[in-house]
Amino acid sequence: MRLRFSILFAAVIPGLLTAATESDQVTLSDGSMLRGAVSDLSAEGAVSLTPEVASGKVIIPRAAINNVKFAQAQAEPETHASMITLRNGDSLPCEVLGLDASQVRIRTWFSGEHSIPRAAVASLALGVRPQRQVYTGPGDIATWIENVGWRSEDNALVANERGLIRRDIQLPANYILRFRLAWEGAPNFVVDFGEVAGKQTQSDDRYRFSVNGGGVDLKRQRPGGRWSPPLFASGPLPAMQGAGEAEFEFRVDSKSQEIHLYIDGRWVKRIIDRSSTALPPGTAITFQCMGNNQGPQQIKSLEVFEWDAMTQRHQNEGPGAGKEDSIITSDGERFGGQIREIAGSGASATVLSENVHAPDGVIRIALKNVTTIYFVGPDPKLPEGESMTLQLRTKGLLTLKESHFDATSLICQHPLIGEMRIDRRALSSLYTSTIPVSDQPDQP
Amino acid sequence: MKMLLFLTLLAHGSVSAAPNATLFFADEQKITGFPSHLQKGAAGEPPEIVWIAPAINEPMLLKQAKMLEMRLDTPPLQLEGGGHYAQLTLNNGDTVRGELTLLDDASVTVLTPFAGELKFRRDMVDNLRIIQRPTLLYSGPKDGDWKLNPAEGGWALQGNSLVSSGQGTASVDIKYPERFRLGVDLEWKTGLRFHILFLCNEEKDEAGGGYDLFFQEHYVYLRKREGTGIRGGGGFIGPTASLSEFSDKEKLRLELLVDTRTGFMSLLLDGRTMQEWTDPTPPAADNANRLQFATDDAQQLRVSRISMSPWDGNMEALATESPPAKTAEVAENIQQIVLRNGDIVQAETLKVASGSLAAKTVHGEIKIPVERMRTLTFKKPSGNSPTPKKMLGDVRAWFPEGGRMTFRLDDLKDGKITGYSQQFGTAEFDLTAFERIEMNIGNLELEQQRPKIGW
Repeated sequence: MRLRFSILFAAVIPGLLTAATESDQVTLSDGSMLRGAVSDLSAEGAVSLTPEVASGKVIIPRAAINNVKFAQAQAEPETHASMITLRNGDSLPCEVLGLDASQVRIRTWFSGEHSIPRAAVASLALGVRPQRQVYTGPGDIATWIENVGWRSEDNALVANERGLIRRDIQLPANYILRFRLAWEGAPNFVVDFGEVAGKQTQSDDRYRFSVNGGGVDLKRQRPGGRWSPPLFASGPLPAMQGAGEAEFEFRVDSKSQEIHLYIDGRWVKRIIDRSSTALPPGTAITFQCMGNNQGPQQIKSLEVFEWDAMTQRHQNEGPGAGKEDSIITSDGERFGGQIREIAGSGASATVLSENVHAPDGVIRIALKNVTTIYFVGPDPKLPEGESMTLQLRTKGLLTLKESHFDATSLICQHPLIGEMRIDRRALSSLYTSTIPVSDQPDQP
Repeated sequence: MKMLLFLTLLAHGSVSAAPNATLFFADEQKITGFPSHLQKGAAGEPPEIVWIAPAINEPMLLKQAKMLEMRLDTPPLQLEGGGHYAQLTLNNGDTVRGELTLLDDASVTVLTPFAGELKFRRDMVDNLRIIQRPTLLYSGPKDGDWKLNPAEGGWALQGNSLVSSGQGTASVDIKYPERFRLGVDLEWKTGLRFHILFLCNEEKDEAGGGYDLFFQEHYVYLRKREGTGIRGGGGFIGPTASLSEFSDKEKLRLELLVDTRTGFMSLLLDGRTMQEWTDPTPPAADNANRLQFATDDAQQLRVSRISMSPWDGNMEALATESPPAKTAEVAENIQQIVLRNGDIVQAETLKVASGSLAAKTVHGEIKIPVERMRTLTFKKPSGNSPTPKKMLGDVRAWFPEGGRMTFRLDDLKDGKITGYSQQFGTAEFDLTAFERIEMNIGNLELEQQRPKIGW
């Protein structure tokens, strides 16, 4: 279930998509990694690869494969506004065409139309759209202020000595702040965010995130300069060890005063800031390099998004403890009852659900106001035997059996959907077992 | 067809002599397995390596174009057992170790355990050192010897090295003689921060007592310990040393000479004495049984060639690992021999045969047992030494015990590698002699990707 939520969430975050690569990549269970062209996938799961570094083709048995990552086109693939999640945890972005007592009908650009037994569907997330991007950088270093000791190299800010650089990145009330830090030797950074724009003072209200050889910690400085005890502290995290580079992401919700920390795409901690009744009101960020005479410390890929934390919460609430289907609206209302159908189409589409409080026993909710539908029912029986896990470039996840390629598609059997022909452009990676946690986008 | 070849290779055991290896390519590609033999490549391309990857049930024909290096699971050559060996430094910086068997006007010949006799052009040899073989009490690191804490994320044993990527310790049980020489090769990235805890004993599975030799950037401290843990109580001994070697370099050989009877300790870097300390109340060697390396943070550090040997307390012996002594300028046609006792002999001609050096000097011919020599610097014809030509297919092969050779890769089969160099002609080496073999060494584009390997 946790995996299902993670996929739901990841679908709405742009920029999480894999960077463009020109060739397929096969990682073996012994740690070997070869790039090349994957031309076939046998029914037994063996992969035919023409490696860049070898003459001819080799057939790699399933038992030797850890994962296959497919070549990615430059352009980000089209995605859909809705996400269907199945009862086995699989999910795929889609357009919802209809819903009745027995089936949910969907359409995808990469696999066409499917009628899925309703008993196989766990939830529908509707109106899932990319969060609005507020800032992307670091951009032209001249647009930063108070620069001491930082320079610009290859779209990164770089410092070797103690220094500071700052700018107003227009942090919204609820935001996702993401940046990548790179270092040689040990990291030695301080990142202040949520502080007021203008010249930095020692007494601003702000968050201070420190990253150094001893680990990471997050503190809050309240107006007047007093520091809170660490809101979060840790020794060096596994993702930081040896790599010399890590991506940090803060998802900050002003209403709940929650901060979710992610490192390298993995959720690390939910932090509740009780040090004040409100978040720091500022919109600026300051990066500091804290060491002298050391290897380059770099800041890359700085991004800020508005965060629709409420919709996210709805989509992460789960079906609840009841034995009825549930509909959650964008206002946060929740209605339980047997869902009958989606009537009409387009702007007039309406969800009809039985409800004991409605005068005629049926409540009608405009589909445009629905964020999430949960279905209840017994878990379907799944066929046994070996399967593979496909991660879609559009952030869906499918369990497949009897898969093989033709020139344009992966043809496979899905245990709940049936036969699927999936456009190769939608493929991200294929795992011979469950996706390791380190490769999963995650969400509390 | 390839499957048949694969099975044939396995059945005939023709690859049984090849060690386990990993071949690294550009763009972070790598494949584990072992090399079988070379096979003719496409027109105009160098031969392909037929590679047996156990994970793939057929041999692979690997193109050399993007190869960075082959890393072999090879233990260091054991150099213990007393006696001596010669180390040749060639005029391209390569170094080779072996027993000096012959030296005449045209050549220097050494007997090696990995390629038999190698005969080098004398005009391509810069100098020759005679090194005493220590009696090793410990040589490693070896799998199973070391306790790593934490088990993952701190230190790890990679091949013949201990590699640190995070906070943690690596400990080994070791026997300390009253006077000993502890040696390690260190390689690090961007500022060294590292502890060597020596003469410790085991206390509740931690290293207790002994000394903490602490390196922080270019500072070196020695602290006596009175408990466990990296801090471990106790006070500093002697002054803090500021050594530019740790900021100027990212790799060196560190040796520590310790006399537990007098409390004298000496730190040598690349054979040079850098700092000395004396503890008036040293701990007894009998009670010590542990050596530990520790890092406080995410430090990229590689420790290899760890050795422990008895030391006779004689500072003269230090010179055996020192670089050639700086002496006065000598005439162009004169060759210089530095003896172990510090004497310097200048000779017009030299010959070595049957373990004895015959030198013609202005005072007449003298004969010196080879083991009495320390360094020999050769004269160069007309003051210049012909530089070996760079050839297509050149590889640089590194020995696990240190040193390297550069040659053109001509053949590879049955666990042997055949190479050609102007320095020694054609020779056949055991593949197991090498820890890693760098390929495409003239390719500047690939050169930039080499540092990414192994860290």
